[in-house]
Amino acid sequence: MTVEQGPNGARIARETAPPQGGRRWIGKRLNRVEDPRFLRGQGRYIDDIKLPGMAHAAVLGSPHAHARIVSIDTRAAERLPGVIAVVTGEDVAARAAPLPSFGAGEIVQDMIATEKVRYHGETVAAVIAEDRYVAEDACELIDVVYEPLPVVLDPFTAREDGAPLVHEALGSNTAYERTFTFGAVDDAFAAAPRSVRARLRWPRSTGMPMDTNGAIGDYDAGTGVVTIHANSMNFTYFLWLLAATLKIPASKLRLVPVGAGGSFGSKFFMHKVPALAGLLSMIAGRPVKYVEDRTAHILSNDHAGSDRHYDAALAFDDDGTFRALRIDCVDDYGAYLQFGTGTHGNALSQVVGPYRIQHVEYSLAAVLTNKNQQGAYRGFGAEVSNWVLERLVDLAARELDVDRVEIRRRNLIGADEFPYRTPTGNIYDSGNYQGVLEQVLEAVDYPHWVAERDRARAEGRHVGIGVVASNERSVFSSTEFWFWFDEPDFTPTSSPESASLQIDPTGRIVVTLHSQAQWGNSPETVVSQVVAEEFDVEPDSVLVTYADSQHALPGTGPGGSRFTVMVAGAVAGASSTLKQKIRRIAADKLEANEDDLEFRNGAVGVIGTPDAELSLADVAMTAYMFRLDLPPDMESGLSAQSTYDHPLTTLPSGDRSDLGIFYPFVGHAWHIAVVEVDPETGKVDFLRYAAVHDAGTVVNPQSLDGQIIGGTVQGLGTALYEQYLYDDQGRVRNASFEHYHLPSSMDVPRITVGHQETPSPYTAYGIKGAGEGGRMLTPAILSAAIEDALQPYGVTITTLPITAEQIVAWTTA
Amino acid sequence: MKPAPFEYHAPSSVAEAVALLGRGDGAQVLAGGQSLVPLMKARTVRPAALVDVNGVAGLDAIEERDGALQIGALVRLQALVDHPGAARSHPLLREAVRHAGHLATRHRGTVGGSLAYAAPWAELTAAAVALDATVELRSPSGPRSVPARSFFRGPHQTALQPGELVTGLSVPAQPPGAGAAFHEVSARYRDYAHVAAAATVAVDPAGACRAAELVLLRVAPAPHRVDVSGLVGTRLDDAALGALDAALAGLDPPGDVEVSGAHRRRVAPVLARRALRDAFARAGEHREAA
Repeated sequence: MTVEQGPNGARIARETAPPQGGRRWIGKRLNRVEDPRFLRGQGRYIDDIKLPGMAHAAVLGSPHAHARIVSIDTRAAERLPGVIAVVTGEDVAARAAPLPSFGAGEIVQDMIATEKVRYHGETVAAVIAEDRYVAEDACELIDVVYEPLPVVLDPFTAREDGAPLVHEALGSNTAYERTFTFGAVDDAFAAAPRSVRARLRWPRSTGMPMDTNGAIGDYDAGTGVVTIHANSMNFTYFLWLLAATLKIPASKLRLVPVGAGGSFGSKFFMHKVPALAGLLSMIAGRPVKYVEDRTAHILSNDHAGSDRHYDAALAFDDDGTFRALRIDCVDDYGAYLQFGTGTHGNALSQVVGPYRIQHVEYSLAAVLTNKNQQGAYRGFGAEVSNWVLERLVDLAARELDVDRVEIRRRNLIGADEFPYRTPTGNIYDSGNYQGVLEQVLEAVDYPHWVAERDRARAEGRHVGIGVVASNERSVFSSTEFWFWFDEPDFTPTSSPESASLQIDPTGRIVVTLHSQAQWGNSPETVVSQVVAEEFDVEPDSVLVTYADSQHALPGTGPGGSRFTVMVAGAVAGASSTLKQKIRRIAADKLEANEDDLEFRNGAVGVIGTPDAELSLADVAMTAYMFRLDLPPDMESGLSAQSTYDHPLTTLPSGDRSDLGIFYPFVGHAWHIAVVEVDPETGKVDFLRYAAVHDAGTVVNPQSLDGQIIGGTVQGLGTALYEQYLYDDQGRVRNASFEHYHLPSSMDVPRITVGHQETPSPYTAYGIKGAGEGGRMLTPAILSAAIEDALQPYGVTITTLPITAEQIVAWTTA
Repeated sequence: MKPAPFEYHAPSSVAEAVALLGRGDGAQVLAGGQSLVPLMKARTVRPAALVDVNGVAGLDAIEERDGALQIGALVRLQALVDHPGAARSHPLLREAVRHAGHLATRHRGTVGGSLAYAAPWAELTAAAVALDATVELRSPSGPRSVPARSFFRGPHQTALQPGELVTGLSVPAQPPGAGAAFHEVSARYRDYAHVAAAATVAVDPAGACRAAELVLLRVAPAPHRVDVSGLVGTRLDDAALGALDAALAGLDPPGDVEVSGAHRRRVAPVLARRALRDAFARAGEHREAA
């Protein structure tokens, strides 16, 4: 790997050319190494962990969306046998600081509400007890007197004068408002002969992992160290903020990572549960476990998804050439703004999609209401943006009466235009968009389905086809979290990832990672395959472990489809150091030139001389036990570590007319869906579904297939099923899986997955991230396919989810 | 999400179970637990005591007698779906109950539990009403039988008296050559029915409708039996089915968190027609096969 100076001071780490003869392990379809233990019930999730003397916590959530807390009487709860302590917001305020926030203005969020509650389910008290049953019994005995306040649930109403204020100190419910202009948007709209405009509505939903958030706090009064076992938390990126919340030195907060049964972004900054478990342990003086139940998770874990209202327009020529894009978004962020408006920063990384659009205007009002705050969910706002763009493109095709594939093809960025600078300043590193399109059309035999649709339509059946594209930005830079603000308080530019490699005295390789343990993604599979590639060992001989935070190197963890790219870079760096040491030892012992050595089948040997080789075990034993056989300047042992920084980040300009390079490794995908709609019942059946993605170099096609299918299914949930439903007092009406509908396996089509590989020129091995792409396409493709199926009814789909009830309402109108 | 404290009893006989239920301490019956246990965990339901009837002997058989069925209360829903005799004599039972939740749910859920809980989406309740079945009950004062057509009073409301235990369902013999069909719409595969229609149609040797039954779910507080006597003598053509519209016009289904009453009103006639047509077609197939 080489590092060079790029534009605006960017440090660009470039992958050196792939080895002669290709790669042996990267790119191989292998079973995930994580699967056996999780599938056999040996995964040790957070709720499986039991510490000696451990107590259990339950929390009491507010039944009101907006109310003043007049009084809390905890006496009856405290008297219940088995109760250790009842903790209220006052107790928390006395011992801890508010939760971390990256948002704007005077928006303070506490672990447990004080003075007033701002959303249904906000925690008002916690009980520590000998077991969870007693803790929940005691919650019922806490007497909270509320004075209900008028609720504000609609972001437009929230912006009106006189609306009830969610945060009085802020003086307004509009937490943030700004228009970004890139290019000559007004001129382009004026000059373009045609345009389409739509009001679009994206509903609030969430990532909804099977494993809810959970943590065990374990306070050691002797050392003052608070140990927290938790199923998420990015160590060096976020953990120091949590130490500030707990008012302890960061050195005394030790996080032990525990694998999670899913996150999908929703555990990206899992702040409330670990903070609470840590604090409760400090109060109880013994280990305390708190694991959200499903209702608490639905109500009070951050509502991970976006909740947006759009007024959007696309200007284009008579021949379908796109000219300019105008987006005006009101985003209902709920009661707090912990992440600021990063979800729109994300959208701006690829706001023009795969198309040559030169001029973009993007307006945002971030509004506070009496709902839970947003968080992060697969796509982090870019999936919404892509739905909006693809809807506009379909409308443009209809306006011009041209084929929906054709209009897209006409505007695709060409394979010879990379790296491509988009109007916002972010670049697309590489791509071959036409190649992916041709592959997906071939995968489904597109002309066949067009004929089938037309034949079915002639018979009175309602078959529809959707064809949509998306880019998939990957590997965020931290600038995305603050370039929104003119004068941000804190302007980080790092988002590193680290890996430590150790070869034990018997020659086995152990890799230590430095972020939270796995979330259901495949960090261990990926790392094993990269290590196997570097050392030519069997991937399943590699052990992957996770450091606790006191031993952690810089790490940022999964999020923004960054982990595979970044951890591969770190493993490559550490491998390079370690291989150099091995070469020196081996060259000495084999009396060979270092440059003539290669790694082969678990050994290091002289190229072209099969007999002249040493196994890694021989080298390792020498490194650990035979000091006098080592070169004199060499230390004993065989380990190395590396921290891989974002390979290509530049700063935004002061006036934000150029946001800089902040999300440059950009994959690409096309999906095609064929559906049949029953216009009398609203049922949607899938006749065909195909997805082709280009994520650069593929480490493991099987685990990548899983990411694509999983993302596609979550997008299907957003498109057809999921949304938070509220009553007029802001109470969530579907706070359980009974009525919060996730698609089941029986609701999911068979998905044909294909891959194209256009390596990134900037990342280790040319890998691009690919954890979110599926969800970036399904909402758009189902909108397009169902709209096409309902063509006889002249329907335009502008709101999700597309429910059966909505379909029947259209067809019977 | 843990239940409030409760006492637990595990009787081994009907008499013992009924005696426990008759103590008047608010005890509830635990059978398959597919509805009760989640409700208890949410503390929506908090019985002082549970009478677990899973160990009660003699309630888990399906007996066939002269075309009639006697189904024990502890028969699992999937056992009913899989029972070849029941599928032959009363195909509606299989058609309806296979929609009840997922396979795992049906392997736990019981006939007695489904009848006693009387969820407005419970497919078995529609079939029981359509087939004119009788719910068998037992209390300390003895057995009692209540026709399904008067047993279901509303959502989760039945003729069951405090202390009474559902012991079974008896289903009378059906007219020879009857066909059955069940159509349902739900938010997802095997989710709660938003609307459902259960139909049976028997045909005469000439192939015309001789008798028909239609029961709709979720258009009224309880399983709703629609008067389809007007179909007798017809071949369920469009004109005959069109007459149904009048019978369904007065429906005023309730809305809930998932769908509106208006949606139910739009979809119910669609499912009614489809169920009747399919039942008629199947009756015709039986006739030809015979």
